[in-house]
Amino acid sequence: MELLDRYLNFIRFLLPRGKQEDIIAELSEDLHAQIADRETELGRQLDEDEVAAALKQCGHPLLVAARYQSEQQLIGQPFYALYVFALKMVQWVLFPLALVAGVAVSLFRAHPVTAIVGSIGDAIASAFYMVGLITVVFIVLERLQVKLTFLQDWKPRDLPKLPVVPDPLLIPRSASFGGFLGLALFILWWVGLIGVPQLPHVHFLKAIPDAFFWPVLLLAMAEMLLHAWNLFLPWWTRRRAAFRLLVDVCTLALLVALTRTWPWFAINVDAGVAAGIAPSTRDVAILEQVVNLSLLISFGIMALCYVPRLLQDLRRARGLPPYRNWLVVMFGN
Amino acid sequence: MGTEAFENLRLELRRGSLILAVLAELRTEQYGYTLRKALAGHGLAIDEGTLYPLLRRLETQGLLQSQWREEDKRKKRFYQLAPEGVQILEQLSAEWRAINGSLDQIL
Repeated sequence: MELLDRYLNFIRFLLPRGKQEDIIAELSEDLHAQIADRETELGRQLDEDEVAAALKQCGHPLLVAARYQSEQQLIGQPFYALYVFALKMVQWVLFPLALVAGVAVSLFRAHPVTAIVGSIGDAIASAFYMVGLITVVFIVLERLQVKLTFLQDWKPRDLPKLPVVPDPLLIPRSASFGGFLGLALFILWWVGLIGVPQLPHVHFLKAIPDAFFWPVLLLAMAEMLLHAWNLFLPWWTRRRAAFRLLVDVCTLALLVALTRTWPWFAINVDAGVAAGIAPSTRDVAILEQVVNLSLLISFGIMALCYVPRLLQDLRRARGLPPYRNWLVVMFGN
Repeated sequence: MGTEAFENLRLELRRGSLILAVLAELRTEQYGYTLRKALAGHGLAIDEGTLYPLLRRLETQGLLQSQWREEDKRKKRFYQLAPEGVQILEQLSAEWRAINGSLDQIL
C-alpha cells in the first residue's frame, strides 16, 4: 500500500492544515474499502498496477485537494490547487535556498554581518516578487482557461515521495508493545516473581508501605490492559482516551501519596560494618541525600510528563482533534 | 467542442440533482463508501472526490450531522440528515417534482 500512502500524503500536503487529518482519514477509508471490495471480487490481493489504476480513477491529487478548497476568487479550479502548490514551493524551497545561498556568499564579504542582514532582506524581497509573479501567471492561465492535460494524463508512480505525517489518532504498535512488555516486567517484579540482586546494607524503596501494593498493581494492570487493547486496535477512541485519563489521574494521585513516604533510600551502616565496609557517617548521609533527591526529582519529572498526556486525553475523550504542539505531541502520546 | 460543451452542461445538470439524491439517501445513517455504492446502485455514480467535499459542505450548512465510529475494526465517518436537513429535503423534493413536471411539459 506504499502507493496509496504516497497518494494520500500528496493530497494531505495540498490541503488546508486544520482539515488535513479529517479529510485524509475519510478518503483513506474509502480507498481502502474500494481496494478491499476489488480484492474480494478477484479473490486475491491487488498488484501495484491495479492499485495505481484505482488511484488514477480517483483523480490527480491536485484535483482532489482542489475540491476541498473554499475560497477561490481570482483563481478557480483546477488552477487554485496548483497555485497553492507553487506558493508552497516558494515558501519551502526557493526562499530557504535564496536565504542559505545569500548567507553563505555573505560570509566571504568584507563586512559579513552587514552582508548577511542585506541577504536576508534580499531573500524576503525575492520571495515577494516570486509570489507576485506566480499570482499574475495563474490569473492569466485562469482567464485564458488553459487546459491542463497533465491532470488527466498522469501516473501515480510519478508522485513525489513526501515525508509521511503520522496520523495523530494512530497509536504506534511499537509503543504499545514496549509499554506492555515494560509493565509486564514491572508487575512481575512488583509481585516478587522476578528479583534484582539486593545489597544487604542498602534499603531501596523499603519505606513504601504495604498499603500501596494493590493500588500500584491494579493501575499497572489497567495500563497493561490498555496497551494490549491498543495493540489490536491501534487508534484512539473517545472511550479509550477516557480510560487512560482515569488511569493517569489515579496514577498521579498515587505518585503524590508516594511522595509522603519519601525518603526511599537508606544505608544500614551496621550491616555495612558487619560486611567489612566502614564508610563515614558523613559520607553515608551525603550519599543518601543525593540518591533520595535524585529519586524525588525523577518522580517530579515523571509527574510532569503526565500533564501533556492528560491534556491530550482530555481532548480525545471529548472527541476533539489532539493538540499539534510539538511538546504536547512528544510527551502526550 | 460539442462533446466538451455537452460534458460541462451534463455535469452542471447532475450537480443539483446529486445534492437531492445525497440528502434523500441520508435519511438513514450511512458512511461515505456505502453511500457511494447506494447512489451507484440507483444509477447515480459519484466519485469520492466529489462526494466527500459535498458532504462536508452540507454538514457545514447544518443539513447533515456526522460522527466517527468503529465498524468492522475500522474507523468510519457516518452521516445522517440533521433536523434542518429533513426540512430542506422536503422542500427540495417538492421543488424537484414541480420542475420535473414543468420540464416534462416543455420537452
